[in-house]
Amino acid sequence: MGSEPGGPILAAPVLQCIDLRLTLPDGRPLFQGLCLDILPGQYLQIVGPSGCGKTTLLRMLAAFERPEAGTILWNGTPLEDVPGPVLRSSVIYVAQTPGMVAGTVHTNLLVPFGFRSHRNRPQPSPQEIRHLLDRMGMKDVALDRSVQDLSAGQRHRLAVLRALLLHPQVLLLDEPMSALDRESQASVESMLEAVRVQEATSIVLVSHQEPVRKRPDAVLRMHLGRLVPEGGHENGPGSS
Amino acid sequence: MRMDQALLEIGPSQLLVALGFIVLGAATSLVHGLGLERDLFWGTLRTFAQLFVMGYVLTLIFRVRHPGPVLAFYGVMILSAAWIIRSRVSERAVAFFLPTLASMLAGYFVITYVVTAFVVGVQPWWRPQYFLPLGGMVIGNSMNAVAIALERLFGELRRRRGDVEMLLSLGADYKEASAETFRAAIKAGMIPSINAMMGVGIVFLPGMMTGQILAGADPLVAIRYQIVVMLMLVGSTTLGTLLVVWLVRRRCFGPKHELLLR
Repeated sequence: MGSEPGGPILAAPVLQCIDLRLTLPDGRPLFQGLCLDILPGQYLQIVGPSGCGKTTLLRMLAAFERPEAGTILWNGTPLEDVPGPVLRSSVIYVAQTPGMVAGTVHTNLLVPFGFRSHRNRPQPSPQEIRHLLDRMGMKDVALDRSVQDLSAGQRHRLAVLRALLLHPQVLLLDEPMSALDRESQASVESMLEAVRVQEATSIVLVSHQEPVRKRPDAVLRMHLGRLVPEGGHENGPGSS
Repeated sequence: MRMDQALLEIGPSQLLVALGFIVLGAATSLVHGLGLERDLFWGTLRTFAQLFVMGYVLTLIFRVRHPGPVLAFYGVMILSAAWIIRSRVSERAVAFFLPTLASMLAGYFVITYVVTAFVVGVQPWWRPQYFLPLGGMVIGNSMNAVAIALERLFGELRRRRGDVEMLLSLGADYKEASAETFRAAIKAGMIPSINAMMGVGIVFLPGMMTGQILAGADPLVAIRYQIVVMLMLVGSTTLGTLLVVWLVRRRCFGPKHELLLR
């Protein structure tokens, strides 16, 4: 399973949205038959203006929201049949303003390892964590530093790293680059690319800005409640 | 053991004199524009009506000498308390009435039974002169504790929604994601009964002890009852809030453990 970086993607979708529909409380239709296939190792970017439903889509993929109609499949199984914690131990959503528990950087990175769904997973050593923090452009951040003292950009990178430590099948990132400078963006990009190639992790990134990755597998734009390939038509890569 | 002085009866004219306190409250409300006159009127009317009805019903129940009416009356008291909690707690996104009622019925019966049967040693354990006043105190005090705990649970889950969802998104189940909120809610419910133990006998003389002393009981007997009551209230607020928060917390999350409170 998985795909060669840059090569054709042959595996079955990890996540599949079929004909999703959702209407906002004010009666405005948000999704009108939205379809999406997320393949193993795929790096997908979804763009669109604020309020078009990008965040809602990510939250639906992580089972925080439910569509009025349509189906979401995870490895071929409808989400209704998958316990939330089981899904979210593999499909990890990082919010635009990621939360932190009170304590140090180290504490925050190890928080998930205390959960039942990750209990059998080996904890990374402080050396491994140090190495990964350095790769994320956080060389000056000590493991015992309080998260209260971190900048918004550092917190965001920490949240991405916390998710990566769990080796997710799919990583759902909500505006991950918005609080980062160019150098930090490059570090995160490089880290995500490494995980995508080495572990076939699928990455779905939403942004209201222009595409952040130079050569994405697919850039999809939210348009009238559906996903269309950026600069193209429906049925491009990613949108089924 | 009774002391020399018997209980002095309060007649209608004395009740009228006591109404002067309400007049004082109404006058204050009028002078300062507090808008409490209507509430004072209905509150006074309900106090008279509810307590007189209670007096007659209790007289009847005392005569029947059967556990059925005693337990039925106790059930109605708990139902009323659960209803008051429902109206006092403003949350409408979560249906908390039934779990609250079920927790109160189970928890308060156990506490009242333990006190009457084993601590006071009443024979039979349901003897209404003991079971209903003690049970009433359990319900009255724990009702406030449950309301406080529920308010804290809903408020904290809303306030800390980002943190709770962060934990959920990393694979936590609803219990793991809301563990801190759960503790805060239980603590909020328990603190008033613990504070009451700190101030009892110094800051205030509690109702039961006062009532017994007024009825001519030896203060040394009355304080023993009061000690039992204070300890019982800690037990009932603990058990009440624990059960209610434990059951209601699940309802704050959907089938996928997603937080329903926005």
